[in-house]
Amino acid sequence: MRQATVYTETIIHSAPEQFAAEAPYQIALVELEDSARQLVRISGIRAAIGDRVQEVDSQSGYPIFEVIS
Amino acid sequence: MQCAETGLRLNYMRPVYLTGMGKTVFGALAGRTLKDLAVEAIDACVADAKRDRAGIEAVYVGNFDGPSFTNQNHLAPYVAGAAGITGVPATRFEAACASGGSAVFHAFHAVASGIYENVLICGVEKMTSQTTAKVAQILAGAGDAELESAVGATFPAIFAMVARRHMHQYGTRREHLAAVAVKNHYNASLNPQAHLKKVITLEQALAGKVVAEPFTIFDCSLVSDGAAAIWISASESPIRVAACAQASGPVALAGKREITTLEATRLAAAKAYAQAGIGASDVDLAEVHDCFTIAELIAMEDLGFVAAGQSGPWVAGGATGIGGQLPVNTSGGLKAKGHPIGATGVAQICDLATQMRGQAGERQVARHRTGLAQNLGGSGATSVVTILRKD
Repeated sequence: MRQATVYTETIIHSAPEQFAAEAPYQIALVELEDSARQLVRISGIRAAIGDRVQEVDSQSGYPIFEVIS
Repeated sequence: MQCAETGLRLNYMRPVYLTGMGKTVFGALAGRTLKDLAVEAIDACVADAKRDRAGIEAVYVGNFDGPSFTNQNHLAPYVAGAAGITGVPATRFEAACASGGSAVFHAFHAVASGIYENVLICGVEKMTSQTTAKVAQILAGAGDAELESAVGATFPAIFAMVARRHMHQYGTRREHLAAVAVKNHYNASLNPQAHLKKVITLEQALAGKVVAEPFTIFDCSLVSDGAAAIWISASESPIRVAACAQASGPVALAGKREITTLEATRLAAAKAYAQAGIGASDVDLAEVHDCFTIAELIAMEDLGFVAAGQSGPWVAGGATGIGGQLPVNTSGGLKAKGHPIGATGVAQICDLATQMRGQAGERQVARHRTGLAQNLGGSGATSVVTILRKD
């Protein structure tokens, strides 16, 4: 699975209509191995700038990453 | 004449002047419609211009998403006709939160290039008939639907991530962000047409309900109804529209190499300063796009008022207060004056002109020869910089 570094992040408390039931949730702009950036969801423990994260399987229609412990 | 720095050709430009202006109050205006707000602003503008509206040769309307907010499309002839202006071209401009500024930009060039003598620009938005969650969803449409909205990003979240990065890179603090909110709330308390007239303390700003970390509601601009209109003309009047420049950048945050600076604002500012023949140090007052507190800080850096990374301490130290070295958002800004999206870019021009005419009452600044307005769309995909000057 893809690995990346967190470039910036936030935890959303006030969510748009279709995601309101999931709030609060964390999103992060991550830098992938090829330097490209992507906006992803973070699951599990909270990620901070500079943390290494890796992609986990997703059926959600958007990429999900977790902190590498 | 060609500007060596920007390559901009200036030979076609003739002087453009601000002939009239009018605004509605901004607020959650139950019972008011998009149409009647626009008509009120246009009527006030025409009265201020002391001209006959039959002289208007084209109408430029700034509006972000009337179709989603009010189920009304085809807005330019809709509001122009309601204001008794028919027959002439009437066109709507959409550039997210820079919709009003973009309408001003295109109208300015039509007059500057000699196509028209007199044009009217009206910015309008009616937002408060929708729920907060629905508004968040409509606003998310100003980002990248596939790369951002589908992941669950909101507009506050995009700018919250910009703030986090600015804090990480430069040591900007939560208190620096909150200082923007405290200043703009105070300024709005002196503005009879502002949405919120509630003075807040730094402690209150920091303790507000969390929207997207590190932002509380006090870091976010308001959801407002309102309209603003200006009449610009080739015939001379005291305030000249000395420059108006628009630039664009990536829509998605992931497309930018640097997210703590907005290239579109830097490009638009460089062109506008060249057009006006001035530099950042010549600006006496500014109305900038504080959709979020971090956006006002970054605007200070991108407009050249302060070096990259220095805006937090500078603003928190009072430099941009009404009595400061460079008063910014004396109207109260989007934060507290309100942010009816399409109206904002046009209203900024009205707010500058009110100061430049010496009509700002309790919030009047001492020096007001040169005013600058900056109107931002999305997270920097469009930026418009306009400079007004008294010769």
